[in-house]
Amino acid sequence: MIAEILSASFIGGLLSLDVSAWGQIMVSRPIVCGPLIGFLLGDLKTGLIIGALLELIWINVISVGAAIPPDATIVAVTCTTLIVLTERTVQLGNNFQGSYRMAVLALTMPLAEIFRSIDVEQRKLNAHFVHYLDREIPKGNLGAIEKVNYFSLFLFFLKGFLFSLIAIGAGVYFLPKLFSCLPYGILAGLNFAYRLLPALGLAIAFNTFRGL
Amino acid sequence: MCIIIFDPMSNRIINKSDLYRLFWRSFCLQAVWNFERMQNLGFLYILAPVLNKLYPEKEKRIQSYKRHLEFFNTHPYFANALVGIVARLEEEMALGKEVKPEQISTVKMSMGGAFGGIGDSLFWGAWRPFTALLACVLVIIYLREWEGTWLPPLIFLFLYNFLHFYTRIKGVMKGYERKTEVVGLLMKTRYPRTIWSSHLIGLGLVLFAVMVILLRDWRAMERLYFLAFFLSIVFLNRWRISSAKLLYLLIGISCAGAYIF
Repeated sequence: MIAEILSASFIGGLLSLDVSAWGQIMVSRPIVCGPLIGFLLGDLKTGLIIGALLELIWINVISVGAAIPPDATIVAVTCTTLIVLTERTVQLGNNFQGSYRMAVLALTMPLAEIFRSIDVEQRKLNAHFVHYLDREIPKGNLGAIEKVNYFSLFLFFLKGFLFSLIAIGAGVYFLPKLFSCLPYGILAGLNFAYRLLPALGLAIAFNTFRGL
Repeated sequence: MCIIIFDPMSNRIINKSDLYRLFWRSFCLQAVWNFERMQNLGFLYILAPVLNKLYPEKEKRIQSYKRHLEFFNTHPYFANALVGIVARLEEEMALGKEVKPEQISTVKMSMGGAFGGIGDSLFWGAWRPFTALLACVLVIIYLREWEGTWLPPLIFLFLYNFLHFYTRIKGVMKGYERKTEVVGLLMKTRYPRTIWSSHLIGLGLVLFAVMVILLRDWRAMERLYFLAFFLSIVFLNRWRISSAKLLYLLIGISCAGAYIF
């Protein structure tokens, strides 16, 4: 279990680099990183489903100018990992297969906003690198620009890695316990919400294409 | 006038492999993104090998590095066109032609804004949602047949990155060749058409996916709930509610429904 948590958060850290710091070749979108994490943990199909649902929900998230959007990648990584790792430990009847997934989805959703606020803090701190180079370049230390770049990339990776490690670790420990306390009515409601989830995603996609 | 007399194939310092080097480094554009001057350090990082080649003397090289510490922000893919343009202007300056440092700054500021607008509406607003939606609709349609497949994410990555890498490579090359004329060239390409056609096809795809789900072997009431929920979210669009809040709204309604019925 620990090896799986570590490797999933390592991949999560690498994928979160792609959100803005390196590349932006969109391996960080939920539709790609869901199946990727699912495949890594041995359940490609679950990863594909969760990835597609999250992609539809976050499809309208765009970073325009200086605005930093909520981070869909970290939600997709933690959500897929938690579902694949803990779904089997929770005892579910045949009628409630979607309830647990929906509960995990609802509880990992706020991580996007939390991660965004950490991201904003890091980007404020990055201004120190600019001031450092303002001093170093007139002195003739031109190699500093490359060092600063790689160091900052490493910090971005570290942020994603540690954040997903903490989120997944806490989730693996608490979620099954929390879920077993839920009453029957909530379980039925969550299951029904899970079946209606594509409607929410498709409606958000519809609004995205209509509004632009 | 001197630009026209100047033979484009002679008197060059930057060669093709340097331009490819710019392309490879351009992925790091936002590595030190900061709220103070945004992409300035990334831009300097990309240009560094070219500046090193153009200015062998240490003093001039330091001056050129200092120039690019200024504020810079644009769309990360279209930034490559500016990288090409600035590389060309720096080269002309190193060759002793009439290019002033302020001119380079002006080009960076003004064209950065223009490219930012085009890039945001093309890539973030149209192309990425469209290709991602295509992959999601594939998952929805074929989920029952597939036990797990790489096809949807691969289709998304191939389609999306085709336009992405095209923009990056062509940006550096055309920017270097044609300088500020690239804006005019951009308007002649298929980019503007891509925006509205992907919106239109996207709307069609969403409706198609809704049809596919409604035709599944569900009970009639479930189909009704599905359609009602889809339509109510579409009409809620006016209030600009965030995705997370809509998700909690869905859970709240379903739990309330489960208790009542």
